[in-house]
Amino acid sequence: MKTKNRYYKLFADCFAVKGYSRSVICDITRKKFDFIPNSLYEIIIDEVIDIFSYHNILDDESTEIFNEYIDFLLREEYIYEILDISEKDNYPAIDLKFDYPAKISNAVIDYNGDYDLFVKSICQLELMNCNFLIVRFLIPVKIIEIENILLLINDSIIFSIDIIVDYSIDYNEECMLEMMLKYPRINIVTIFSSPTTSHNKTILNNGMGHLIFSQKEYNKDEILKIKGENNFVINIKLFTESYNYNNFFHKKVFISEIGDVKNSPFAKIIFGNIQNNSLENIINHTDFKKIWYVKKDFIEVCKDCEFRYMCVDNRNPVQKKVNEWYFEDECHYNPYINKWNFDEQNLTFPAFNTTLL
Amino acid sequence: MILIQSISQDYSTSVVIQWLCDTNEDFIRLNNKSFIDQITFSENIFRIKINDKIIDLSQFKSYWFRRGSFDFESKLNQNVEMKIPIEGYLKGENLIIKEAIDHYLLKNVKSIGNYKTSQNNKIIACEVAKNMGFKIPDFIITTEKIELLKFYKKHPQIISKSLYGLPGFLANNVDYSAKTRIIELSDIKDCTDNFGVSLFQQYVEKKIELRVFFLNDKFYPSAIFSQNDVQTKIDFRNYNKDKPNRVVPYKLPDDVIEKLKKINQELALNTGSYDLILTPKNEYYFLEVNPIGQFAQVSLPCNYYLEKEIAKELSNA
Ligand code: SF4
Repeated sequence: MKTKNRYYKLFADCFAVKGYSRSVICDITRKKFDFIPNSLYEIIIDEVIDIFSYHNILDDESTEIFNEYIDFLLREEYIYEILDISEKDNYPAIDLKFDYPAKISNAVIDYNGDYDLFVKSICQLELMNCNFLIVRFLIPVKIIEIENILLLINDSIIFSIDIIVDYSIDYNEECMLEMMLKYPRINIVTIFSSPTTSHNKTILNNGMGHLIFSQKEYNKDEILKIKGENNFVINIKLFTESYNYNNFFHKKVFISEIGDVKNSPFAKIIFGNIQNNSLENIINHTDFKKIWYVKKDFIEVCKDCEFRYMCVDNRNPVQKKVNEWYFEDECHYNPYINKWNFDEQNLTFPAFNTTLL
Repeated sequence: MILIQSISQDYSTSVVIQWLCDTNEDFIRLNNKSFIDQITFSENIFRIKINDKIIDLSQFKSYWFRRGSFDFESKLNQNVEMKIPIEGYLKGENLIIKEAIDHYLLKNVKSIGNYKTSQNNKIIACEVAKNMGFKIPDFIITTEKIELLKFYKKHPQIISKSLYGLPGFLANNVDYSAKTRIIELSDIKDCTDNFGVSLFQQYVEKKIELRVFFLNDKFYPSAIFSQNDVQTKIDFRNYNKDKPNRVVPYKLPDDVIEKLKKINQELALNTGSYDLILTPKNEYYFLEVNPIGQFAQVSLPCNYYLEKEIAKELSNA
């Protein structure tokens, strides 16, 4: 019996990303991914999946596997049926451009008590339209000192602030949450070297306001590498940013406790100091922005990894040639054999805490 | 200087402003709670004082009416005894000034949206769309059970809809958010012979729903795949948080775009969002046009950067 041909199309919000030995379908809307074999990748990137054209070239056994794949894709709603082949043009792909309305979008500031310098840093960041800030307190501070910092942020363009601080005897859940209610721009407060471990949320319910007490000791120089699939973040902004730029360095800046400006807390080169130069001048140094464009597609190993558009990784890439970079130390994940080099369940941090840390 | 009229919690306004800041544009944002402290308006003076800033309206190069409206009356009416008796009168006075400012801005500076056309009438818009050649769902506005019954018999399925906006309120612990829903025979049986004015529509089978943002005759269509999910089938605003509907870019045929442009002209709209349906038979139905609709739901999933487009329009005046 001759059945009618069928045509399918991959939904535009589902991106197929090919790795060395397997691929993923990255489902932007539903914020999840599924592994698929590379052979299926080659099929679903077709503008239209023409069922008959595959049936015609496959033997019986392969046809059965092929049909199972199609069923899986339909069940997960990764593909949809189009009735007429010409209909495919009605569903254009999502443009993968990325843009952000700021010269600097995220900043990390180390604070060791020099309030004047901090004020200066904030003013400079305001001029850059910076929206996200992480403050790392390098010295023990009283709550009132944290509040003094927060007061500066309250009316600024910075609408999200994360705080990293060591435990002090006058900190408890109650007073911290109270402070966080007063300053709704607080995203995450992480208190290290605490007597106990806990995770709380304010009642603000805007997705922000996380309070974390951790027994771990904070090591500000430790590069936290990707620890497992929980660390991956799936959304259109990160996907498109990673597609075009290095998502860890692009439009990010680090200002040290003495005002030195670097690409990240873990970077080696100092590009200037805000005590004697404007942030704008410093970041306009061509070499400062060079690393922004080192997307994962230009980095060895990562370029073969199926996670490259959902992975924020804070190692410093080293240049080999034009558009060829590598990392000196290895990622915990090996995309050639699809294995993690440790048990990935051992995660102490929730996934949202990975950005820039 | 750019003038923005919005409401305080509007996310899209903040994003547009972020884009304006990125290019160092000067702007003033009025929210629904912004009071105009002083105003002088004559044939050759048009000056307001707001947030301690005195502005001559001729200084504005562009105006974005996002939503909401500014306010004089609350400040004027501080006298407790007079408050209630005089309220209606002041509202009326306020309205005239608002309309006059809106009119002045519309005439003299580059505008995106305006107060007047934001007061959109669903029924009139449907009429216009029909005249431009769109299919529209058959509808009836009635208070009579007998008419509703006749309408019900005429169509395989009918729905009820609100006439104005999207009401949502809590009373006696019941959530009365009036989303679109199917009307069954049993619902009609439960009705009294006469009920409050209600809008009923023929239910049109959908393949996909289209939400089309437009800015100065440039269209940014998105397709919403709402039909695979019973929760979103009738009204996609019954969002399924665990399994959200897919929203992807769409390309409208040229003849549909031409019709939409004509509606824009007829209704004097230069921004807003169209809600259309594509039926399984590939027919386009017009549902409504919302001059102040939320467009983040189109902008983000389709990666259209609509907020940037708006900022660009406002800057290039
Ligand atoms: S190989 Fe690169 S892209 Fe893959 S998980 Fe490791 S850091 Fe991320």
